[in-house]
Amino acid sequence: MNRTPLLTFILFLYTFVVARAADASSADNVVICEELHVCTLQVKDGVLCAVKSVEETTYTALHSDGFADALTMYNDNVTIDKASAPGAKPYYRSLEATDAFYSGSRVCYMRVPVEKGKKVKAVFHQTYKAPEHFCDVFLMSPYRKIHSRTVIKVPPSLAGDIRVRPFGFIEGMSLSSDTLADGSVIHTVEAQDLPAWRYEEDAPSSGLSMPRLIVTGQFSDVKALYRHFQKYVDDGKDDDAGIRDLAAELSAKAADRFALIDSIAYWVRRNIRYLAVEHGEYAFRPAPAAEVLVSRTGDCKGSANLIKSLLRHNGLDGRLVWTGTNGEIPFDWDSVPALCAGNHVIAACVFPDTTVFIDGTASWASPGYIPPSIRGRRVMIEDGEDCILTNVPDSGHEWDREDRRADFRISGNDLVGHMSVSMSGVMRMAFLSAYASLEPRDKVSVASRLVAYPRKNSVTDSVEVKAPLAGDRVTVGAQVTEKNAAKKVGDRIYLDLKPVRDMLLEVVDTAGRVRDYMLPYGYSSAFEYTVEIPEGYTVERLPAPLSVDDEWYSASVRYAVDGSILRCVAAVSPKTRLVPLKSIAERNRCVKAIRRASDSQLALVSAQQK
Amino acid sequence: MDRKIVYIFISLLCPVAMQAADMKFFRKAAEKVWNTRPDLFDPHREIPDSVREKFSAVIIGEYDYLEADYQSFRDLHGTNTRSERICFVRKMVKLLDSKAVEEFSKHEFGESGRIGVRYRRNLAEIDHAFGARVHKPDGTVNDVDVSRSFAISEGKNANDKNALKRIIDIPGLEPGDVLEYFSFTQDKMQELDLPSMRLTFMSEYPVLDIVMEGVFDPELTVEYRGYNGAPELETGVNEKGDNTVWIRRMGIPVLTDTHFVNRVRSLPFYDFCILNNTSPHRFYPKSSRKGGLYPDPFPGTIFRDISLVMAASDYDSSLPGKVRRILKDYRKVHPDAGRKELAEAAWAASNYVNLTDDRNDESDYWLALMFCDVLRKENLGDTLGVAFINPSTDVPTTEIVNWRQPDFGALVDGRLFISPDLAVCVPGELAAAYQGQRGASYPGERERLWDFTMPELFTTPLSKAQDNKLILKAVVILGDDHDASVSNELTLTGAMKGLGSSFTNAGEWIAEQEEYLSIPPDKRRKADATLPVDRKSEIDEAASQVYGLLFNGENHTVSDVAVLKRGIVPSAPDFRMEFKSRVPEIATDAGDDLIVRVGAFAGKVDRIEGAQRDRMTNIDFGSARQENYTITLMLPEGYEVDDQSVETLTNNVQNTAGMFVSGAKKSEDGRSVVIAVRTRIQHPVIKASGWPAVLELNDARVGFADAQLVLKPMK
Repeated sequence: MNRTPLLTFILFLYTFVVARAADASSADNVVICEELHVCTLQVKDGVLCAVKSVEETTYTALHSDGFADALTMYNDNVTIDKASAPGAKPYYRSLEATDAFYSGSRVCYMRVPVEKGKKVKAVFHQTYKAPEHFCDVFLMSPYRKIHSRTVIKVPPSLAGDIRVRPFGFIEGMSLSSDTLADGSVIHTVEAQDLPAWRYEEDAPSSGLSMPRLIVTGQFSDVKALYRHFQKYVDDGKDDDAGIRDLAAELSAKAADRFALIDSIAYWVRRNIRYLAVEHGEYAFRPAPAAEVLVSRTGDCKGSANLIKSLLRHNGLDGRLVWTGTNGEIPFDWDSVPALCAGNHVIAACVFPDTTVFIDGTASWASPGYIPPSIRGRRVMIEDGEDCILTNVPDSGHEWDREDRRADFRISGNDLVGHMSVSMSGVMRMAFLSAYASLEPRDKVSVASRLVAYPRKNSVTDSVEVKAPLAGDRVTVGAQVTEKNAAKKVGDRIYLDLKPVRDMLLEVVDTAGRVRDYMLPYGYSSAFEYTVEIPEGYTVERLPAPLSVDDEWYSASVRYAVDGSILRCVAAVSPKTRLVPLKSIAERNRCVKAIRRASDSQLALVSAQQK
Repeated sequence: MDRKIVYIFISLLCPVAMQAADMKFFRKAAEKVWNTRPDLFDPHREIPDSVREKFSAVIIGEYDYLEADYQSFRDLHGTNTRSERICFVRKMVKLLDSKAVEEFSKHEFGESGRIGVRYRRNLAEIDHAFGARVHKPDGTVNDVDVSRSFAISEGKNANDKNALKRIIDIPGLEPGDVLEYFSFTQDKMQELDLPSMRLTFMSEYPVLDIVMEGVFDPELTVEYRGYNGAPELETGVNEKGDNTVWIRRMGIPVLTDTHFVNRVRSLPFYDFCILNNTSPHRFYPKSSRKGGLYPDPFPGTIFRDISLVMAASDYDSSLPGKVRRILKDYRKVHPDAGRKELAEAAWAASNYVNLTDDRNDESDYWLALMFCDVLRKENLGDTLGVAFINPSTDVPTTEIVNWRQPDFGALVDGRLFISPDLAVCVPGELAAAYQGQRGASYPGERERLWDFTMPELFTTPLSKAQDNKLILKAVVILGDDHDASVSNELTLTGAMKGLGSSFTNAGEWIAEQEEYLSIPPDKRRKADATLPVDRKSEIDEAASQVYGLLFNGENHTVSDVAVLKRGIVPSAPDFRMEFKSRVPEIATDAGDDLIVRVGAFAGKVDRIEGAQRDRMTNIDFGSARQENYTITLMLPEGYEVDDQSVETLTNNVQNTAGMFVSGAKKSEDGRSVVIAVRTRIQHPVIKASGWPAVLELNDARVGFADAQLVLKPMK
């Protein structure tokens, strides 16, 4: 299963529209003055068989003539029955999401001329041929909406099954449900003056934050949903010589069953290239393990299927696991038994007393490491006709860290010494996946830049990257000359150590920002430096120690002098990745305080002067 | 050349029908490609360690093949001609790591097009095919089944039949494999020339062995030239009587230069023009050569073509009349204007009419012709002629291989008027790309050109560094939070005005030219529809980007942007802008002292490191240039500047490439410090051997970026 392309469509759709809309009607020249979106659930033989969607959007231009970009997505499961707007021609184009190699997704697009003060209506009629896909209705638009009404009509026979609930509603939105005399239920969202939904850097994904309606009841419960996924799983084709040979080869090298699991995970992650082919039922049907092995490519389902198969060939209880990822899916299977509650498949090895979860797409993950994307997530583990509902352990946070250490001496105006940066967990994954995508000739310079960060005027030498295959850390070390970091001015040396060198400790620009901020990674960093104080010099005064422990960070910067050695120890650890819009300024103040303490220089004075 | 003929011809070139080529075509292509030059492609070829250590992939063998055929036939409408080109590139690539696998696995292919129908025949057709096979280390060879590719379809009911192109990810690829693939294109043209082609040796990966081969029907005229030391092609005639060209080279390195590279003036390549000079249905100069190979054509040959094209050129355009009417109004308001001023006004008016009148959208060629005619009728030049010249971003004018290649302008009393970048040039100002270039012009009446004469060759003047200046005056006021508020005044002259191109849009250019040309209000174009709020946001964004080049730091913000002069009219030839900026964390504590990173205000500069410190090609800056930064730091209350730290800001590096000079001094009242930084690049192009001098300047600038002033509490 993979709904990622569907969600990605929507994200891409909005990015696409916003980019275009910004050209034509920035500053809200074009607005939606009225929108009516009616979705009618269709029944055949008492079963939900399709959903008809009619979307009528009326645009107007406030300041000058312009264009409205009206569009909707379609694919193998969703058809466009009608697309019309005065003065506009519908264009039907292929529009692949960036994270799918092929999904068959397409966009129907109309550039609608809108005259100042006049109204113009764009109409889309669509049919969801596979009604289980109709599980979320997004309510925002790149255009400001003055008024919008979204209606879901549920026929009497489905009234007891279908549930419609709000997610992420913002001010101006309300949902009501009315039962009509014939037993049908009408769910209506009325919305007034909704702001335009725009892309913002480092905002939480739209999957997490965009207001929408969640529609459930296509599946009676989680088990029914599981059976839907399970019908795409075909265990029959896994008795393959290639898999048998590989399973035996991996088994022969493994000391015990856990080592075998690690080595299977490692082999799949290193040898199976991520390639998402998600059109039609391939969004849910895992590619046969043998096919994944031969093609050396697979998406999450395919990789999980190969892991499962390799485990089973070694007598272990390998299974498929369906889940939704952190950062993309805000609910779990129990609360929302619908396709929109998941976007990912991993594998599991089930033992009587424990379960080991293996994400085949987590390239460069250390053995046993649970990536942040699935940590703590609710999962459905394949279990014959039924499934096991449980959670991935919420562990591994302590592995997500970067440690930087340097021993310097002062030479001329420069700091000279050896620096090492050691990364584990998510930082190890991020570094190694970026490093693997480089040309060999570029690797040294990229590693150098990492060591030199944040200085642009450093010279590095003897750069070394140590990434033991079975290890949990990658370490980049180099001889460093930090130019002008110890400037002599008269009898003084101004030492610019910049101990806190955390790439994500940035002030977020709040000007014009309308969405929350999300730290791209959550990890802790620690820093340790020594500097040899030149003979005849002493530290004039150590900077006051910094200690921060608030809602956003715990951080510290401390200096000490130990004979002729200046020592500095610092640490930064974010408390949360998500910062609500109203709190960004407060977080910025915290970040500034840490950065200011880090930027403080030390004056070394000659003993003579003192 | 009657423009009507061209219009009629173009009107036949529609509609364009696009669809993906079919599998039958792929099979035909594969058969042709896989059966050629097997000797070049040995998957077991030894890969040198020096390549293995530096690259993800290496091209073991490459075969660039170009074949052009010709046919003439008669039908009810008379004699027709048709030419067909097949070209393909076949490559064998050793994939050394997973990056190479990722990069070489995905391919997009199969686009086809049919352009226009004339007498039930396509005037132009193009089809594209792809094929691949994988050589495994154990010696097995797997042909890739392209029918398993995915169709990229469009239309309401998209399916395989209406696919526009196809995509494939080659299955089973692993590091250590050898991928062999081809990209095959077939063009068919009726009456028209085949598309020109550029064949290059160098690629992103080292090439161990490359062969380029061309086979041409003797009826086709093939004019070609090698550039930048490209070796001479061997020529001959094959058993079928076709003309052939051929070359083989081994061990082609990868260009590692990334800064200041002018590829077209540095790297070896060939330009091929394959001309059908026999068609009775279309225009070509009467001097055109008949079928055959014409390597390195003598410039005069192409110049003669140009002269005869000009002689045959006639037009029926309202542009000259409109330009003359504007000139008439201009003369009324500026009765003292001399011929130079009037020529500039005529050039501005020509571009103005071309831009504003929907019925006029002339190419540089026609604009130059009409402009010359206007000047001639207005008696605004003693010697004036249509000129042709290539900019420094193209091959030299004296090395063109086809009359369509150069840009066209007008040479008026020795001054070149040529399609300028309107947003950054005063009418008649010569853009940097055309400076120091050799060009040619045909003065006098065009009719005279039927009798061929050599054009007058000329070389455009080269501007000096002081003609192309960036001048930034910044006044820096520190805040309590260690941020700084900065008032900036930016002036750009000459080629440096390119930095200001985003500050003038078409509407603003038009409005300013209307003012300059004194066009009466009732004849002016309706104001631009851009909303002021939108334009402000565009200007702010552009200013922020420009400041990103002026300030060597991050997270700055820009506000209060005021464009004072655009540098597009003679009365205000320079660009001037004022704006405010806010830069964070520019000061830091050092005990009781305050350290201010003043070096950050002297321009963005990055250290050139590693392999980039070696140089293969000439260094092309586009123009000589000078940057002057004057930074006034206002000292905060209670602080005074440390005199010794003022002294540390002194630099003086002067060498053959240019100079970097900096210095600072306290104001008389002691409440501010003025830091002056000057950088100069002396020449637009410096030979590769001059790279150490350029690095010396760059290193000095990078060092200055860390420059800081120490402020001490007042005693």
